[in-house]
Amino acid sequence: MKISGVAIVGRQNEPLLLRTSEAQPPCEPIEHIIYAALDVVDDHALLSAKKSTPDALKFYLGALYPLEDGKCYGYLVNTKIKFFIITQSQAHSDQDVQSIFQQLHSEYVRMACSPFFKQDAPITSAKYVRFVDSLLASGS
Amino acid sequence: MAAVLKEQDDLLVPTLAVPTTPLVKVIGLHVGENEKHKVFWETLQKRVEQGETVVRYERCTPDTINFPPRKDKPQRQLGITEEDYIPPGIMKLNWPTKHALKIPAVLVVFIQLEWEAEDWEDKEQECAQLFESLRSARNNRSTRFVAILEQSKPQTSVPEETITRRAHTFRTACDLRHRSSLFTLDMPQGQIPTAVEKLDAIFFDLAQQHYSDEIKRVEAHMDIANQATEHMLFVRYLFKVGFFSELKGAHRDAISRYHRALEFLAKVGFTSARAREIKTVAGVLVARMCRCLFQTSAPLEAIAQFSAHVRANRLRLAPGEHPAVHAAWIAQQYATFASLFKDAVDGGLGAIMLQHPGLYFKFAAEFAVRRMTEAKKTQSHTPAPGPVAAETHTYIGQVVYTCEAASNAQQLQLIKWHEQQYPHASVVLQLLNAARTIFETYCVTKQPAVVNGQIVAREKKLTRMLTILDLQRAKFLVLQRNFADATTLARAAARAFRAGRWWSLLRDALLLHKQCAWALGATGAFCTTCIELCAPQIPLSAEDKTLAQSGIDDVVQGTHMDDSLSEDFPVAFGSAASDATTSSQDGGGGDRDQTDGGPQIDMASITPAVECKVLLYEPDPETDNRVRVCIAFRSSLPLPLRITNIAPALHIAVDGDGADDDGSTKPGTSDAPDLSISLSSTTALIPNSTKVVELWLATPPRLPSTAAVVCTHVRAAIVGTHPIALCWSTPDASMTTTTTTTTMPPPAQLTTTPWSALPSIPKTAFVPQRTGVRITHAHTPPAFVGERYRIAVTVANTKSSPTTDATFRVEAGGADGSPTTVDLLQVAVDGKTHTSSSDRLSAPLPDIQANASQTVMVDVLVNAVGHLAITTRLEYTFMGVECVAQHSLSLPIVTPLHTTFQLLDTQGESLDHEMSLPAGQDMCVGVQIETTQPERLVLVDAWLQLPWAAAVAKPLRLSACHEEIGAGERVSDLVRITLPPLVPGADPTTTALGTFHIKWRRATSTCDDGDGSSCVETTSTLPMVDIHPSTLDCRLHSPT
Repeated sequence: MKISGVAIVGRQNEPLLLRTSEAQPPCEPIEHIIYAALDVVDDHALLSAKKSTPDALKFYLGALYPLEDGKCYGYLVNTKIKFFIITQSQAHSDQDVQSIFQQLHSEYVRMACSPFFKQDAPITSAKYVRFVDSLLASGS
Repeated sequence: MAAVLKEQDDLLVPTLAVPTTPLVKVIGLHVGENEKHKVFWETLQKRVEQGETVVRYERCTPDTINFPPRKDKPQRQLGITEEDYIPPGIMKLNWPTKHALKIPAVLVVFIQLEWEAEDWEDKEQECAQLFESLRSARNNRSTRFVAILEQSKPQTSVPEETITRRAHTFRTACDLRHRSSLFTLDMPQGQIPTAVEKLDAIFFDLAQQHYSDEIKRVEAHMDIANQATEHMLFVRYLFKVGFFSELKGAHRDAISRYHRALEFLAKVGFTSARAREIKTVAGVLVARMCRCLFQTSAPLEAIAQFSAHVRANRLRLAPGEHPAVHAAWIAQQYATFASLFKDAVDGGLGAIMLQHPGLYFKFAAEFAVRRMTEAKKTQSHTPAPGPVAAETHTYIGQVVYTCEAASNAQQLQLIKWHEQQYPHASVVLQLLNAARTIFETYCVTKQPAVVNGQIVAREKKLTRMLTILDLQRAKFLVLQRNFADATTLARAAARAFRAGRWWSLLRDALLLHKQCAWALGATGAFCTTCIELCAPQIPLSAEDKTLAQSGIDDVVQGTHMDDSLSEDFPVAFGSAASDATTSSQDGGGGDRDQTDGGPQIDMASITPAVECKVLLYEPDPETDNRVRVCIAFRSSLPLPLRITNIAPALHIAVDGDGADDDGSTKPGTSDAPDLSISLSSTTALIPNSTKVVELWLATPPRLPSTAAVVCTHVRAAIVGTHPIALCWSTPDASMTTTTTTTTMPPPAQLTTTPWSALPSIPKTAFVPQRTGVRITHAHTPPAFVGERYRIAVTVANTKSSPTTDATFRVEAGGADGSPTTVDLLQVAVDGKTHTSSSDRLSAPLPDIQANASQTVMVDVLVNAVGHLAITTRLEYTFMGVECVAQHSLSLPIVTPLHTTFQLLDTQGESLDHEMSLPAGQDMCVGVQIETTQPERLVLVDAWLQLPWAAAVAKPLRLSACHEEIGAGERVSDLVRITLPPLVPGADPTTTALGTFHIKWRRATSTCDDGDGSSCVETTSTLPMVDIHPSTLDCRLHSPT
């Protein structure tokens, strides 16, 4: 799977991290994609809240926004932090995408355990950024 | 050249616009003259409009009908090489149009010929000639001919044998041997619609037969072609078969044929000369497939087919193919598919939020933008191309610059010239507008909302997607120089991005807004945008931020009026600004300040590069009563900024009700501040450092104790010949009733406190109760009735400055509903006495020096039992400010002495009511005095006043005087009285009246002026005595 962009958006829908692949950037600015995809995340969250028994562990939102040369997938965790992945091709198995989201989430949790971590502030952790860049470089 | 441009640049793939329904042409219909014809034609049209038929009908005349000639196909012979059969192109441009619009499947001829016509043979011959001419004009096409004989009377009135015979001869003469080729129209007008319905079905069957024949004819060619080598020919044949299948209504067959055509097309050599043609033909085939799939309600297949097509060709550039040309092709594919999708949705197909036509219009716009970008890379002034550009081609996808006749240099020149002429921005905007229209339809979600107490589902638009589209639209509106609309869109987008803290998107919106403001000459909007671009949150380079600040400087210094600075830009800022200024003076200036005519930047509505915090310090009562107003500024601008006329807008707020006694307004009720202070000197704001400006506010006079001062906003002006006003609203100015618990740093530490830790406290309370003058009263309550009660009022100045212009006011009256009234009010100040008989009095007070006091004696004479309220108020001037000090007290008014009387005889026996004494006999009156109050009183004097006794003797004095009594003590005395003789001639019975007087004072009285003015005289009424002639009959009456 070729990943062309990764984004993390905060609780108030403010961007925390926006990274794109240097080799294969998305066809349109990542800010445009993620900002538009937030509408669909809100819609998902609303539908989830309406359910009588919301599945608290179902973080994966699936494909949120079709792109010309790929898709934007979303992952919404209980802390309202949103993870986004932009892929280059259209067809991917949900398991693969979920696996990447879980890695991103795990690393985020690890980073958040740091006493120096600032909630709702743009992510500046070099280690986390390196991890995201490695995802973008490796593609999986 | 125009044809070439049109072929290349139309948003829709060529051949897609042609209808794919059977065409039937009708000859001989005289709608204007024949009523039956009119009904017949209108019924047909109605069926078409209502979708009851798929057949298209056209009226024409024998002269206007024109069948395109059929070309002779080259005959295949043995020995001819394969190259001889390679066509010059894959598909001809006009072929679909020819079969869809020009060649009818059925030709219907209306003939007015009665079965029993006397000149039947002649008319039959004319019809035969007509059909012969039509047949020759048909050019060997397989169009079916149908004749309709119009009858004036029903067929049943004609012998059947005649009809059979004449119909046979007519068919033979006109060569209408086909089974469904001759009909009669003999019914009345009312039955024509039924006949039309039947005929329509027959025409459709005939059309299908026609297209089946055409398919067989093309397939016959395919049988002799070589599949292994003649790929282009097979593509053409399969396209034709597919197209005829579409016309026939067999969409699945058409899809199958198109799919095979695509497979053959993939085998055609992808050379630079053929690349564009192959891609265009592929686009045509896919578009036709998608159209059929949508018509067969298979949208997912259509989307998958189209996605596969784009995926396969996205990076398929032929050697030497210009990227702009390729991007144009992909944009065309997306636009085509979006149009097909939209048509399908309009026809009833369902669409969802993540799969709707708007997305494909958006993708088309993206590639149109990419095309523009690629074209700009090679943009230079290219002269108009030579005659080669005027050549037109007859094959789909062939353009001049891809033909081999043009050299490489000519091709490049043509492309450049073409891209120069192409309205990129207009096309992109058109696509984005189409996308937005559809996004508005599909990007909605239903959210619960409470309306009139009921939960209803309310539609909410997914505004972020629309905002992104608006941002893109604004960009291309700017390119089209539609700055007004672009401003509206950019401003709305900036507002959304600012609220969401998407700084990079906000930067894009602001840069657009800045361009628009510049072009429109809106100096206020321009400066506002520039100052926001310099905000630390905006990701912009230091150079760009410096340029943004330079823009502000230009406006402030007036150098933007120099048009020579902006001659390379679309609109000269200077002239635009002056135009805008002129229009604003006419009432159209939206961003103008009403006070000084200059623009004003509202920092609260943007992400400011210059921040401001206001701290109002609570007044210190021990020094003075002024409020310290500290205004802290922090600039993120790259260069220092000089500001002047710093003025906080200060309002008086009163807790509780809406306004205080003197009608002062609360913040927000009026824009005009209640208090005015400002600093007119210039202050320089150094980047990234805190600058504090200190102002002092004096307490206004006559404020209620709950009054507070609130700073709603701060204004300042950027120094220059054309100053710009900056306005910061304080964040919590509306929270006037909230008690601030934030710790305020000392004023001296404001500059060193980190900006984030610096609070903004725009409110503080006035402290009128902590004025420098204090009033105390010295007295011993309660006051006694009839007493001249004295209160010592001490007015003390606790401040280090003297008070001047003081006026002492005192007001006394009954309290708690008591009927007590004041008989006398007297104030003694500095040896001067001021007296009033009313309940209020004022007297001037000499200046009270620092830390000194002044005593004022207030005497009050009260005449009834009850409660007395006394209010003392001092109005004075302190350090130039008018101040007020006030004090109130309430005291009870009581009677201190209680007196009882007893009548005795000379023996000391108490006289009862039955005893009678003779006139002139002696008797005794016993008096007992006691006090009810703890305070000791001195009885100065006491006496009985007997009018009847006075007639004969002097008033009797009480012997007990100058005695001092306290609580629980009594003073009693016995007075001997000789009863008077009866006066001759008087009534036999006389009532004797008398009063008892006591003169007393407080033992601790300090208001004795030596004249006994401190003494109080209390009078009691004695029991009434009746004197009889013989005996003295005494009756005791309780005094009323």
